[in-house]
Amino acid sequence: MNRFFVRVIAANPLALRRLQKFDFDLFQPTARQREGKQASIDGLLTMEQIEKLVLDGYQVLIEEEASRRAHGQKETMTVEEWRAERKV
Amino acid sequence: MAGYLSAAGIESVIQIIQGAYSDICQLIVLPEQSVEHRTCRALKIAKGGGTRTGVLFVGGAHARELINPDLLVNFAYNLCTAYTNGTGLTFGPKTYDAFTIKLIVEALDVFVFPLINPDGREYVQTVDAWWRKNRDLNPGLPCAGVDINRNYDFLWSSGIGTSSNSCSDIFKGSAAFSEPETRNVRSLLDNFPNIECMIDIHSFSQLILYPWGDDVSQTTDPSMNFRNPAFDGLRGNPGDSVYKEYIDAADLNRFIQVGNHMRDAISAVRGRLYTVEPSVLLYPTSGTAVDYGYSRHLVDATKRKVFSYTIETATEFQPVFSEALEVMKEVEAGLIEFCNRCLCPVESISSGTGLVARLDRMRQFRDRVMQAHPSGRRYMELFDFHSAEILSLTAADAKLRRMATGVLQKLADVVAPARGESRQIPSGLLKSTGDLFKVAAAKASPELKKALLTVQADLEFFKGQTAEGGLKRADAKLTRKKR
Repeated sequence: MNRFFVRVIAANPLALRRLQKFDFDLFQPTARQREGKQASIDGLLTMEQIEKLVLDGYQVLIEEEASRRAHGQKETMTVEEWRAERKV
Repeated sequence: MAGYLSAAGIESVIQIIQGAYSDICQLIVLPEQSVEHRTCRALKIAKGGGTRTGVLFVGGAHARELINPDLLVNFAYNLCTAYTNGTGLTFGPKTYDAFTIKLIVEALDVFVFPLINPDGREYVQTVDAWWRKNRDLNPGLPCAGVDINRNYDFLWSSGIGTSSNSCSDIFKGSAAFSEPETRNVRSLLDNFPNIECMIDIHSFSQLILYPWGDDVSQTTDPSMNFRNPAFDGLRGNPGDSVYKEYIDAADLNRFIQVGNHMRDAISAVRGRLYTVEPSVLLYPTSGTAVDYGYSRHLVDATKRKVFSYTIETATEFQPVFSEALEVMKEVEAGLIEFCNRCLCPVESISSGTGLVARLDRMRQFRDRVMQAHPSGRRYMELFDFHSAEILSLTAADAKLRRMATGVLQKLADVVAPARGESRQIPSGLLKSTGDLFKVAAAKASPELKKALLTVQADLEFFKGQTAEGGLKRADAKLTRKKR
């Protein structure tokens, strides 16, 4: 199932904390107060989860399909390459 | 091709660094294997022995945050190489000279545990790029994995910012320290009680976070704290006035000061401005390493206070590797700066002298007596702020070091006598302290010189007094100034 990097915008900080009840993959350190009373948090959600949040009154901005940011499987290095770079 | 190392690669590189720099690197095999039976290793980087402050860096708790284990092995390698070659370290325009690197390796025990959660990393690089937890199969539960950074023993049972649902990314596990990965971190703190400084490195958001994570903090009501059951159920709602977590004012100040120094070092590399703030802000947590590290001395007074931080590196979990290299540079500068701020001149000056045996009693005087007086707290702040420069000056100048040792010996007789109560300060101690300040001020930066002159002016309050009596008189001066 495809997942998306998103920014979830809540009407206020309390509504933001209520997101905990969903048990979704939201990134705690990204929680921020926005202009006015709004607050936001970033996360990694499926389309189904996004729909749930929208139905619950949250704004969800879709930033990117997750696989586009997965560099850790493609850009790898062997120990030999690490050694060679440092001449150890 | 440059890129991220595998879990096995990180473990190999740890051993390669130890082998290449065996005179300053000790391999620590952690007592427990990971859930999938991988051996976990850490490095202790230190030259020489004696009582020294320990600094602990851990990374790789959250599997998908790939950059940090690579960052930490590179940090360890760069530190060892620079020390061995007698050079400094350069991160873009930010430079630390050879003397600073020498001080760090010779006056601190630097512990680097780059990959707490090797099973998770392996899973991320081969199966699911966004896996966060460890790979505990959670027998009897529907999903695998425990969030390592919700499994520490800090308000674990409160459920604040954690989940009891095994399918959640913030599943806290079946009990505090139910996971071998968290127990390994605890074992480092238990087995190396000299650790006073710690950073748990995560991604992302460009943040430097300090305690607390469960609620907003306050400095006025010590009874409102995480150990007080009267407040159970009231924590975890930042913004309300019902509960605020107590933090000692001097500690809070130190967290902010040191955090700001790290921020400035990081920013000097390529202008990225990390934000220094408490962990909680809008979204509370419990069971985290940062709060566990700092709370240990409050739960058990025999444990050393650990100034613990979380750094959230980068702007994504797995940056393109060319960007990851830039992030590593800037954060490494922050880590060197952190080491610098953890150096203790008193420990360094005492090293190899009979004073070492009295350091604990001197620390008690610092924590119990100086801490209780506004003037004492002010002296400590000045000392902390200028500690790196004081270390440089005393290490580079044998005469100054001898003078400092002499003053410390006389001071120890007063504040940490072998038996009995604190004694009256002898006039000889005040004279040698004045002389020491005079010699140091001649070589100091304008800022340190100003601080030395300020404290020197206060010496008169201590004439014919015990140390505590002198602090009381200095307090009175501070109060008069405020009025």
